[in-house]
Amino acid sequence: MNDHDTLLALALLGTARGTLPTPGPGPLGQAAAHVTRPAAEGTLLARAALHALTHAAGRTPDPASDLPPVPAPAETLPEAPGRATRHLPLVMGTPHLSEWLTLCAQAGWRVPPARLPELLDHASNDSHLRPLLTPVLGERGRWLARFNPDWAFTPPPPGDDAWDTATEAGREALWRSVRERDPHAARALLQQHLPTERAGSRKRLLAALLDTLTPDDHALEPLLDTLTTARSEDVRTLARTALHRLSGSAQNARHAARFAALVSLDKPSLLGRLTKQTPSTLTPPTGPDEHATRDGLPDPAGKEKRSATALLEHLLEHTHPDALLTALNIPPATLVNIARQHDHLNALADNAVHTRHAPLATALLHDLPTHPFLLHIGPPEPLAAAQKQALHDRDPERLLALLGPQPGPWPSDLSAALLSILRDTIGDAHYAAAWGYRWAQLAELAATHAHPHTPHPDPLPADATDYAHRTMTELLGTLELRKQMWNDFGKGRG
Amino acid sequence: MALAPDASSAQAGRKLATPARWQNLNAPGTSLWGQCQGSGKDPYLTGVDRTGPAFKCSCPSRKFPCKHALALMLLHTTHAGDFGQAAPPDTLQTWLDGRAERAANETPKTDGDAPTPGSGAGPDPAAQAKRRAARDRKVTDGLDALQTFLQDLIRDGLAHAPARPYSDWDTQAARLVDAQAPGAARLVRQIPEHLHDPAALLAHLSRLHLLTEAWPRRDTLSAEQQADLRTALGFPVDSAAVTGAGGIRARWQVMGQSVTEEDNLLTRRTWLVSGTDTALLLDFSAWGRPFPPALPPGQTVQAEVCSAPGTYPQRALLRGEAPVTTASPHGEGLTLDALLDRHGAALALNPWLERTAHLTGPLHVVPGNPWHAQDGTGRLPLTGSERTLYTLLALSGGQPVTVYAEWDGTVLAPLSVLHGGTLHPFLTAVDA
Repeated sequence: MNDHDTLLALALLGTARGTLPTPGPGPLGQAAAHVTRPAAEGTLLARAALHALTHAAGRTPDPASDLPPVPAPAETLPEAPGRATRHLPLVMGTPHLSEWLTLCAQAGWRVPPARLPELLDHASNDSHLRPLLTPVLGERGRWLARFNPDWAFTPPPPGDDAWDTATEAGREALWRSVRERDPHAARALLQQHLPTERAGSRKRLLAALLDTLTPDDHALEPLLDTLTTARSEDVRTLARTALHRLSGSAQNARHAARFAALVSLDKPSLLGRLTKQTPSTLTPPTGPDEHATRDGLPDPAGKEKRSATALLEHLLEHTHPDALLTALNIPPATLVNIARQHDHLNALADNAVHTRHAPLATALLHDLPTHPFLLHIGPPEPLAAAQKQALHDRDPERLLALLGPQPGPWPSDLSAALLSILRDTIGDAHYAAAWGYRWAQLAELAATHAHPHTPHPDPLPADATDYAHRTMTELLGTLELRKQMWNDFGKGRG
Repeated sequence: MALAPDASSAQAGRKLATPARWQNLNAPGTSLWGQCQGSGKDPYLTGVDRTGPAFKCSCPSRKFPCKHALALMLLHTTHAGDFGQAAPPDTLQTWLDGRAERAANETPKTDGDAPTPGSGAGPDPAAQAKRRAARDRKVTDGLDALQTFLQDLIRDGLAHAPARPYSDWDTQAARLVDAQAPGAARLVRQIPEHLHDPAALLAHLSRLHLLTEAWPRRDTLSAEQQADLRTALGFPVDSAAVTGAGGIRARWQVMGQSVTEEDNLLTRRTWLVSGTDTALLLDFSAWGRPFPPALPPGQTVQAEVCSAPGTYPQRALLRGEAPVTTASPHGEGLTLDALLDRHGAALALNPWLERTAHLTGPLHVVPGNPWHAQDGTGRLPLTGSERTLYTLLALSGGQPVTVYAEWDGTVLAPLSVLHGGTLHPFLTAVDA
């Protein structure tokens, strides 16, 4: 025990139960021997002060044990210039951050290193930002993300063990990044790993596949087919959904065959011929269907009649429209006819929306002329007309439905028309509820989606309320900020 | 944004910082002014004197600077091109003229002699001495009682200390507050933090004991040592005497800021460096009141910095204002070993010194639990918010970096990092 330890031992025990140790022969001991006080407690504390100060003043660095991290690889993208990054403090934590990130990626730039932790934190809390941040992270960002488990959504650095060492989120990120660069390699990755992944990871990967599905993914059909009998219901559903969207899949072919057996078109009556309506009748299946479970068909245990119409509804919703049209060799209008006659228009509409089938969407618009999603898939004219009509009617509910799904930036004339209607309707409102929440929501939507170069509407009348002034100033201010942002990124693209 | 009195002001300022919300943006000379549409019909008239910086705004906010002034300054850094040169309206011009006049009047006075004690309006020296003697008596009594308390602890044995009720420490601290020795009270309040570590506890108590031994012998100490002792006991700095004695007028680099909180009192430390001189400015904020405006971290100011007396002069006060000026070159960083040497030398002069700050590096940042700073001489634990540490790592990219950091004897707290030839300050605790 050194001098300090013997002092500490006595201090713990108490001077009432021991005697002061004699200091050792070293220089510190010699110095301590000169420190004496009338009471033993005083001597102990004074000598302890000498030791504590000597220790603090004489401290040397601890021996290095860990190797410093391997430096980040050299960057391949240029850093976003100051004129672009100056907007970051203003958009951080706002809905405009995603626009900034998109513009940055389009310009082919990366974010400056000092901003990386803040952006990675935002993206770890908001999954929508992740795919936008990934392309602008640069080498430094990918390198940095390795040091924080919260940032595991960024693709891990490539390497033989990248997949094995990644978390579930990391695997999804890795797959998405491979998918962007090389869809074929991404398919190979799925074929290699999906059969052995856990359900959580399978769900993530299948959802990522659905986000990016193309007709080339037909190669994955056998794999997806095996997953339709997986233990997890979510995995089964996701696999069936993917097979549904691949128009030539065997699942679609089986559904089409069921559809052809179920539906027979009758000879139209005179009235039918005049109105171009072909009546159809349903023949419920009689024999067992060996693929019913793996294809997710509704339970046939219900009443016979209900079973036929339930089967029809399922087929209309979950069979690729091309397969349905080919099965009976009918035009989209006839398919819509069948759905209408059996009251399943909505199921067919959902199908058209999910498969983004433009001809079917167009045919459905006769029956569902206000369906906002069909309008977005169908030809542009009916959508523009519907929007024009809603603007004319000043119907905020309808405008919200029609504009909500439309990705920004909206066309300039549409943006301008909306801004002037917002200006016209807000005039005497003193608060959001008095204006109508839908209008307030539209104003928020316009702030993020309107074209940033939209000309400003006329100023509010002098007698407009403070709320009106504040709301319009805020909206136009936001558009101005976005315009500046666009200009600053635009120059970089030149 | 470092000037923001609190996080919500900073957020509000950011929101207002778009040119479209401003009807007028101008930057004539060293001032900024603009009109911002608020909730009322008439826009607020906001002015900033960048030499201070000082702020004036017609808004009803009691925060200082208000969000409009913050937004105006933020806009000037992000959108300098949108600012015109128009002269401000009369009300603002009068204010600016008044400030310029006062600044002009102050300069000759600072170069002249210090205010003479006892002259005309000055305080009565006899009354001052009486008050001082009364306080000294109170402190003597308080420290006597503290010494008995400490010796009792040692007699009973520190092994029993953790079993004491919390009120024992609180009562002792409260007595020291009554005895007008708040510095000693603070150290007593820190005792429970060390109860789990006997060696640290003994070291802490022994330093407290040193205070109680030094006070009765203060007459044998030099003036500087007496100043150290009074500072450790929590005597306020006599600002008039410090600034009256004059200081070093130079370009000072604002190396960094940190904020710590203790018992509802926020303390902001601002470290300034000019050549081989280091100065520490302290600002306090109690009960949620905002700090006075801060010097801009990372920038250089032209200022007269007056050191408070002490064996290792560190605490300082600004005399007059500190306008931002162009940057001066940075010095060389120390190795970790040299940093500890400097700290040890300072501690040899002032045993109660809590922390020193140094430019140190190049060093490697090693993430882990805890994080470390590492160079050829060894390593020291790093501390700071997660954002600060990761930003440091991001800027380093795994290469060695040079940081300006506080060393408190246990952990190294980075305040700024040299990156690409400029100083990148980290957010202080209040902003983070």
